[in-house]
Amino acid sequence: MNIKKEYAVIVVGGGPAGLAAALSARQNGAESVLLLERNNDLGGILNQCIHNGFGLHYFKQELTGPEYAQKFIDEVSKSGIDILTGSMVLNVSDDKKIYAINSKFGYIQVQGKSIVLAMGCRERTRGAIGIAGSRPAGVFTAGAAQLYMNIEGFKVGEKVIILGSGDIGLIMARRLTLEGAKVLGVYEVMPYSGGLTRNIVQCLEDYNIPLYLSHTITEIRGKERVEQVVISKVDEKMLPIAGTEQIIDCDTVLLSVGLIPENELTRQAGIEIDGRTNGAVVYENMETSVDGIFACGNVCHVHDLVDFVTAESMRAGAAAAKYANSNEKPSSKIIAVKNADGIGYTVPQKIRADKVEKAVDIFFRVRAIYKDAKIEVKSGGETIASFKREHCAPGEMDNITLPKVFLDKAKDEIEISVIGEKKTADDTAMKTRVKRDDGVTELICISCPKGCHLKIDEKNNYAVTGNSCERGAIYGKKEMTNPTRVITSTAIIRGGNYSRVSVKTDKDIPKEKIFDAMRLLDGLILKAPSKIGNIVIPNILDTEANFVATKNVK
Amino acid sequence: MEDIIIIGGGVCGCSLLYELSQYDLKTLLIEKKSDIGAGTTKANSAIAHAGYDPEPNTKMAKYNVDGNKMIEILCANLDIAYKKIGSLVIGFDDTDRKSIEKLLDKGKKNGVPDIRIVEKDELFKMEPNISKDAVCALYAPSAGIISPWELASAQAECAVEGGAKIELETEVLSIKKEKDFWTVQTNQGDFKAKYIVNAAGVNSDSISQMVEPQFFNITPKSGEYFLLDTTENGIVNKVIFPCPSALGKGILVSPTVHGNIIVGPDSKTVEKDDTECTIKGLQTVRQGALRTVPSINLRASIRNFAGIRADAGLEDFIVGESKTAEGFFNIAAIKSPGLTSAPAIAKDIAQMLLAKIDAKPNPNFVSKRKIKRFKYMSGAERAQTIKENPHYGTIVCRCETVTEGEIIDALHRPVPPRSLDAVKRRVTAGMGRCQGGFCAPRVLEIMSRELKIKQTDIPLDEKGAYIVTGRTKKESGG
Repeated sequence: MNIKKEYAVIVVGGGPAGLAAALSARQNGAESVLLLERNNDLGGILNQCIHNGFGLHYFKQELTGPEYAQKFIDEVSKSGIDILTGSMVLNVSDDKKIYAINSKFGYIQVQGKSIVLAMGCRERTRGAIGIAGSRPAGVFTAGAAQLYMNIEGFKVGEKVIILGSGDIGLIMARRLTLEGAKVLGVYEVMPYSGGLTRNIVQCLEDYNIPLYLSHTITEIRGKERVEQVVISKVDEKMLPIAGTEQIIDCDTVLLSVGLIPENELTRQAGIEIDGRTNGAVVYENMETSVDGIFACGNVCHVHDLVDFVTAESMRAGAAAAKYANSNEKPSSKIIAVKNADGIGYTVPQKIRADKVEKAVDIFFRVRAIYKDAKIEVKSGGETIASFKREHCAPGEMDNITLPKVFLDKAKDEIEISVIGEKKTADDTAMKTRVKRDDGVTELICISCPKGCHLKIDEKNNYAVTGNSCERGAIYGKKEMTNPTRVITSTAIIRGGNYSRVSVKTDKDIPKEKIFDAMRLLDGLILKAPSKIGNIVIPNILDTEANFVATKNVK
Repeated sequence: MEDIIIIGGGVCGCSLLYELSQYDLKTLLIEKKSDIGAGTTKANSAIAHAGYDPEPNTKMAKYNVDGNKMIEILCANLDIAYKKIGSLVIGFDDTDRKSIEKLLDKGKKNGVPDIRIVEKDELFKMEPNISKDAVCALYAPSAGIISPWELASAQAECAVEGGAKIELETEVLSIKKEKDFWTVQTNQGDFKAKYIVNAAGVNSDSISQMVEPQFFNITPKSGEYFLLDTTENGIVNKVIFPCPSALGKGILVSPTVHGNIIVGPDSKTVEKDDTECTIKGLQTVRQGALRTVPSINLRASIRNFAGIRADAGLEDFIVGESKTAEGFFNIAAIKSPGLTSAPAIAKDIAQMLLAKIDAKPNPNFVSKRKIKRFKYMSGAERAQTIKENPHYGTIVCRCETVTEGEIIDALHRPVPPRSLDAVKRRVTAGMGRCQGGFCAPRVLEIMSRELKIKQTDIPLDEKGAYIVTGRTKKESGG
């Protein structure tokens, strides 16, 4: 491959956002597209997210991270997109020049007609939250531990405390348990969990790992390696309550305390940043304050689900292609989207009404847990739209779709607010399964991130209500009679570009067989190459499910 | 038999090793920890102080002012980051003004160049973000900021290249006077030398007591810090101090040579190995910083740490030959401004030793060092460097823009880093905002490959500080 001097669209970052943006730019008429990725492989963080649960919205099937990524990598690879991996972008200028380095191509300078920023995010560290105590080894961010375990095949510790109930923390609680570590508890400073309910159920409750809300680590002890942590309860202001300290022996602390968009390049380019999202301020088509530079995915705002990253990045890629082909100038009427009561942030922050074709999706997070709420859109003091919600939580990004006709009614500013009953700390405590006196069991469906509240009537042949799809009915009955799970792990592989290959069961297996199934992977040594879907172990424990590879290893 | 054994590989010991490497001497430095510069040297304010604090006519005053000048030259020769940005001691009222006038007087007596008092208008022009309650400040243009651990490692590297030796993870157990030499018993066996220099930092009292009657006692003082992200760069331009108190120079706010903002320290008496941060200590630092720079954003903190100073409750350093044990020298009770003074102390001790030993110049003396730092290269330099060595085309630490080439180079320099933190101190990988979250696994992999050691055997810093604990999945049946 020769690197051209100029590209219609240059995409910075080859994770899920960058892959989708590049693909969409090409599909929408960009003559030439360059995709730059700092790692040696495309796929970004998905490569280490070997658990399943990806793709339910986008592909209507449940995939693991590497499988989801590979679907896009395959598409991108045959779309005539120039791909440069092992390439770190050092600078993006506001006149859309990109400076990068690569060990083969050296110091690279390329000009884009438009640019899509898709650098993703990083994890908040111990330093950012200022935990007192000593600074021994054994304190990891959850994502770093995930990389060690899933990509490199290293254990990170035996007795683990997890601070923060973000999804990566919950996922890692299960991973560590499956790999033989003891997870003593997940401690969350907020009065509610930061992760999805399905992960509370399938990552913590399945393995009897306790979740302590309104608790935090106030001290880490240990000389060389972590030896103990001090845990304290916190009050409503999240300050530790004296006298509630407990000392817990452990050798490892995992931090899952939030994600920060990586916007160093964005700042360098002089792009306006929103202090609430820590990402660029964007218009309806994901264009930033600099014409022709777009941002999408976790670099713009932190998402919960990769499917939404893909959808957003598809829009950004299409808009970047359009910009590259037409160089259109920004329009005059700009509607600012303001956060009113209860709203943490919105994306986009600005809308150019004349650029909206039919409708605009506005993504947002609320600041507290609400039930039976209404999302109201006001302009000039008048309500122009209202959307009902049974349930809203800060951990779950939500969106509303505003048809163009509503925007035409709006003045130069719209206000979004949430109105409803705020839940208190007490009733936000997780109740994922309640057996009622009348024999009906209430539980939360984990088939997809939606988390429907199911009611299962044991006396009536496990009839399920409260589900919004057929999967819920199946899940509800199964969960009461013969609960099953898909499990994911890794296996040793030799002679390839990785020492571990991720695997999953291609069907769900009975819950009580999980640990026996895991043991089958010990002693298994595969030979590279391996392709997604290859059967690694057939008919696991006579369940008719197979362990299959979920990653390509060359 | 060595000519000289230096006990302690902090900035004082390493400065002396470098100074002595000019001469044709057999010199050995022994260090308890797994790396040089890993004690007080790695955790302090990283300031080359101007020299107005020490009492006039003390050793401290002389070493401080001389050291300040020497550091500038040393850093240029050894390719160590150094910036002469000046310092300001902020006064808030008449009492402060009086202490600032006293400091000015001391500074003049100590020979601090161009020191003067600036009034409000000039002060706010220099530092727009400083508290509007400030009334005046003592301005010392010769104060600088420096990378302290690099001052230690760069000097050690040159010395070793010139023939000096360093033994790490070597703890002194006892010292015996033989007829005309010393035997130093350590956990790694015995070492013999004609002269011994005690530069053991917080443990200098214990070392001294192995050969001479107790005449000082180290009461370690811990100081806690915040290190802020480079996004906060520009909040202050100079080293900002409050007026000093009985506890020391007070809580400073300063840029670092790496582009961060450092805030701290507090001061409290602790055990010798206690580098813990406390909720109370961090709160004290927070309040201290907000007093001088009210708009400082401490939420941009990327790391808290604490360092300990070898305070002996004395007005002056202990530098020189023992009164009772001939051939045994002390560089002890080195509290602030120890970092600044280190090169001047080293020079002085070297002269004392040379008065006793007849030494010729070392024909292999390495006075200068030049290392590649990709982050600070121009586009053309970057292109050329990657062409020469493709490892420079791979970024390992994205926060600090550190390439694989720099890490490989550091692993093969004369005093190679053997832990993740030692690599961090050599090349800044892992020092940035993600604190090694992304690069640590890559650095372990490179260390494992280059040094031919298992990743499970590479510690965070000292032995036992293991990072990964084993492999997932057994190789044989489960």
